Amino acid sequence: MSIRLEKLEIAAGGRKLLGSLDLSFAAASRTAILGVSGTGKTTLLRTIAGLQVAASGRVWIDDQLVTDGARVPVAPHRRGLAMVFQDLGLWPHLTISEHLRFAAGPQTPAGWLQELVTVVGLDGLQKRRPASLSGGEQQRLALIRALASRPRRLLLDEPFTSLDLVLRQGLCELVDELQRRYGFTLLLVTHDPLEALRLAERVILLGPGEILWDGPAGEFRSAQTEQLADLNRALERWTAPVMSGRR
Amino acid sequence: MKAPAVLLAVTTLALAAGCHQQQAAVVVYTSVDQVFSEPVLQEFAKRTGTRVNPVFDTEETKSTGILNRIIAEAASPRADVFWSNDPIRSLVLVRRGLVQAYRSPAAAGIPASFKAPDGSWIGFSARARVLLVNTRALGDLRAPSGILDYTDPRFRGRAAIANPAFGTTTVHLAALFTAWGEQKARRFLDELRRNQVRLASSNGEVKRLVENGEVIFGLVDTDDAAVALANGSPVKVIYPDQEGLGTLLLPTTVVMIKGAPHPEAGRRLIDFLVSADSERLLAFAPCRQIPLRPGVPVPAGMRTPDHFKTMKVDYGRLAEALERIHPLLRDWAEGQPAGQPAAGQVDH
Amino acid sequence: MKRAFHQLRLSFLLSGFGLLLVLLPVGFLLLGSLATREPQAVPKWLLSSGSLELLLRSLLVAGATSLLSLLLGVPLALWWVAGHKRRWARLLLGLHLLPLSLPPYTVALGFAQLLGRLAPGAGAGFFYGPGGLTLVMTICLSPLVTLLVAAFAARLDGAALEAAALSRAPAPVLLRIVLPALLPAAALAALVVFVLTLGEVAVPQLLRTPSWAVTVFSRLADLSYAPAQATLRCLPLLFIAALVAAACQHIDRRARGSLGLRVRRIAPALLPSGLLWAGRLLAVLLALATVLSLATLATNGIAGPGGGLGALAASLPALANSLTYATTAALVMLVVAAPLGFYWSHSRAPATLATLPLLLGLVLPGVVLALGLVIQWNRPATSWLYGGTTVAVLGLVGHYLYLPLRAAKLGFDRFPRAWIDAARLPGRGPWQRLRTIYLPLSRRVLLTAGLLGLLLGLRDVDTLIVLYPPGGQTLTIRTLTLEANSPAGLTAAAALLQVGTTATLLWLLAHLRGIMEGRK
Repeated sequence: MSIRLEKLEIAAGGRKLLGSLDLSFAAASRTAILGVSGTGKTTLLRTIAGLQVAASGRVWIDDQLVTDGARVPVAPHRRGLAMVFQDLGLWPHLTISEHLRFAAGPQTPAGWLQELVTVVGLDGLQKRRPASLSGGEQQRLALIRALASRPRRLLLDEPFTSLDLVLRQGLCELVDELQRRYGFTLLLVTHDPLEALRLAERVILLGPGEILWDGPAGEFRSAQTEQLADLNRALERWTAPVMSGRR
Repeated sequence: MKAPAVLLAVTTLALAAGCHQQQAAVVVYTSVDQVFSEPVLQEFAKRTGTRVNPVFDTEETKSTGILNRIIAEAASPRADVFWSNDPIRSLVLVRRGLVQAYRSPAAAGIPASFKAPDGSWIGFSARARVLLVNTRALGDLRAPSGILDYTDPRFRGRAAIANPAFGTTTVHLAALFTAWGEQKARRFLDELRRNQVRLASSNGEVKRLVENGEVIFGLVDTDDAAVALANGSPVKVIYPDQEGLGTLLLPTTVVMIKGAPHPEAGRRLIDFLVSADSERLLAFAPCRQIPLRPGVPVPAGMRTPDHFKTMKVDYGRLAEALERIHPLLRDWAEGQPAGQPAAGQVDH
Repeated sequence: MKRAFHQLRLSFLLSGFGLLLVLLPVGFLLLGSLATREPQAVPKWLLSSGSLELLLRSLLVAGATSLLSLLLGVPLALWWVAGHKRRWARLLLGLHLLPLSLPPYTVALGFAQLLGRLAPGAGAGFFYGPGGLTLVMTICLSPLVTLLVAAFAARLDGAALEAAALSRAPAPVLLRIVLPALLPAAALAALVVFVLTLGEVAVPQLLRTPSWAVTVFSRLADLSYAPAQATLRCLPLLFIAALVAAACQHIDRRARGSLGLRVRRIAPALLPSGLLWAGRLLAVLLALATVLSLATLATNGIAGPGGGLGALAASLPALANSLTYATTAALVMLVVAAPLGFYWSHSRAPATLATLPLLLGLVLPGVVLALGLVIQWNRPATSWLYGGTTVAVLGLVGHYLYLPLRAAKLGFDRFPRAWIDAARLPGRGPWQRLRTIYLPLSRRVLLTAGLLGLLLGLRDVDTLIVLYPPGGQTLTIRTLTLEANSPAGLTAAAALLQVGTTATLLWLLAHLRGIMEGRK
């Protein structure tokens, strides 16, 4: 198994978000984690990446224990994964090629970095800094920066939210192509069911504190109506105290 | 709006606390160390009920900072009285015409050589320039007995002198320039450098270097020496040149500023400062200043001018010499040789 | 068109303050001395080997202080920002930051008294020289690096850091991502440290070590009275002022790029553990240095020769004076800095250029500016102004206004444009907008700018030493003038009162901020 979660509990700001998750992600698989804001999708990704500790439970990567509750035996950069952040997190003082060289590390051959640049169509812009790139170019830079170190797992945290429909579609196709070409395990967090269905072969629907659905994308498509009803019920349950002013 | 309210309250309180100083009575600028001058001024305030607003000076730039504040303020004077810890700075003001004469009746007992015949300045309560010697560092060497021992090879690199651009050392050098003539005095300055005399920033620093045994001896004022003795340091005091020129005596001096905003109160303060009472106060203070009047009670062991040979000095001429040689002293202190006098080289 | 008019007005106002408070006094100083033969001596002086050596020496001390402050301040700042701090860690940080608000002279005095007490001569050779000067100035000014870098680090883009942490080990992340991002703040802090060290006049005098600033002071305070020479000796500072201005400009541009939307505390795991240990160790060392100096002042001030309650009480009037000048100056600076800082932040006027005179006022030694003010204002016609507190306040404002102004500007830079636009749309009048929206939103900015002005005024020595009205000696100046031949306890008591007042003010500030944030 590429990634395995064992009785993983996730909390943020002292509030429990997800309890006792047992999930596995096979190598080179494509999974979308769906859910509305506040269900802990992003926190789950950050915990897998090692950027955050778990309340309890374990994370295994390639059968190696990488997170054990509040302990992080394996540092983020040793987990063989990369992530594209919602805010992108580009480095304002580095050019495109400096981004890639830094992320790839000294051993990576330059040919690989050039290939990435060409694949996403950023050729000729290597000397530019993020501030002088368009939104779509920034997004593509974030994507190839993540791939620069040849990760075996790519985590995408709502990477296309701020883009218009056309750009979003283009980038989805790009990710799709890149995954097919390089064969990494893909874990996508999104609140957009269409995006999930376009990219993933498996969909996990998170509700407040629990998993509402976990199955093949095709089945999710057909079960959508029923699931959406479930989701609505769950949402009502969850938002009622907030709406009535209790926190 | 709690925070601004607190801020406002603090400000109001502070302003209220600071307001009382508007009702000035007598304004005195003094270069006598605050710790010594403040009690005397307080005593005056207590006796006469006159409020005193002082401006004190810092140690290293002794008297000169205040002096230039007076010069800068000449267009509209703030000070009534300038009480200087040496005669020169007062005389500089006299030469610049920033002083008005006042013949204080209280100064009657002070010998004529320590006051101006025209009443422009009055000297009182003096310090002497003495050699402070570290007895431990001296070891078996013969102790220094005069200023010229600075140039003796036996003290090579083991003596210190304060920066002659400042304080009483300036006056001392002016006295030497007057007594020896320019050529010999310049040679002396260059000899100091050749004998690796350490240039300290002030007399206080010289005192510290001697107390710590970093040098064997140095020239200081009697008040610095008194503090070193009181500290219990292994030092002794030598009144220099008892066989030759004599020891330089530096009276503190007081002048009335021209256009003083409170002349009446200023005169009252001068009367008090030059009185026997104030000389006695300063003799018993930790600075152990030497009364110039005969017959003022002094602490046991204090040497008054009738106990040692003093250098004959015309203080009026000294000021003239000092203004002339000061740029030279300053340049020398900043590393240039004193060299030989050349026509027109030393101007100001 | 209207916008252009606004911008012009802003530049006009900013440069007007600079002109009135800085350029005019310095101009008067120079003009006044043109009448004498004094300027002729300037080229001779500038080229003399002694003065060049002195300038070089002071530049070296200032450079060493800046470098040391960076080496101490940056790890400390990162340790501070990484993760939440326990009580003892906050105490250590407080002790490290305190000397920044004190006159460096006070801290130096504590060490001098400690050395005198340990054994005559112990370590004195090092302390009474450039080494001691560097040490004292580093203890007092490195907190500036800590503060600025921490403020910047706390606003770094969390995602950018995490993206780096996913690909590389903490050490390269620190070197290639974190430090370059902090460079503008660190450079600005180092420059300010450099300027303040170069201009320091009190500490070199206590440590009796030759210094360029002291010779500038001495040209204003010796028998030849050469104010033009003093002013011209400040020429190198113009270059430094330009550097500071450039750094500020740069930091403004970079700040917009690198400050993230989602601010996250840097997780300690993202930074090399060695760095965090270094930060912790440095915090302990610097706190210890502060404690050593201040504890000596406390023991001497309370129980030393000449110390005790009487000595403390004797310094109270000086404290009242200090508070009067500093609070008045702080209020004036606040009133000026708040609106101008707001406009500066929200306009694209050439404000940086217009603030150059004020920056020059900060960089010039206070004595130069103060003497210029004496010559400018001490005339029969303006004696109402020169006579009392006003000229002291003018001096403080001229010397320091740049800092609260910049603090206000930086504070307002963080206001989203939408706040202002949204407040405009409902059509309320400017007064109502100010009262209901802008003032409540700017409380923190105003408090910071005001407190900055207050602390700067309280710790000032070099401006007020020339300007304080007769009988109106401040606490810092009393400490300075008492040092000559006073018993240690008397001087220590004055210094102790200064430390106590400053610490109380800082504590009050922490509480005020607590109250404000609690109300939200």
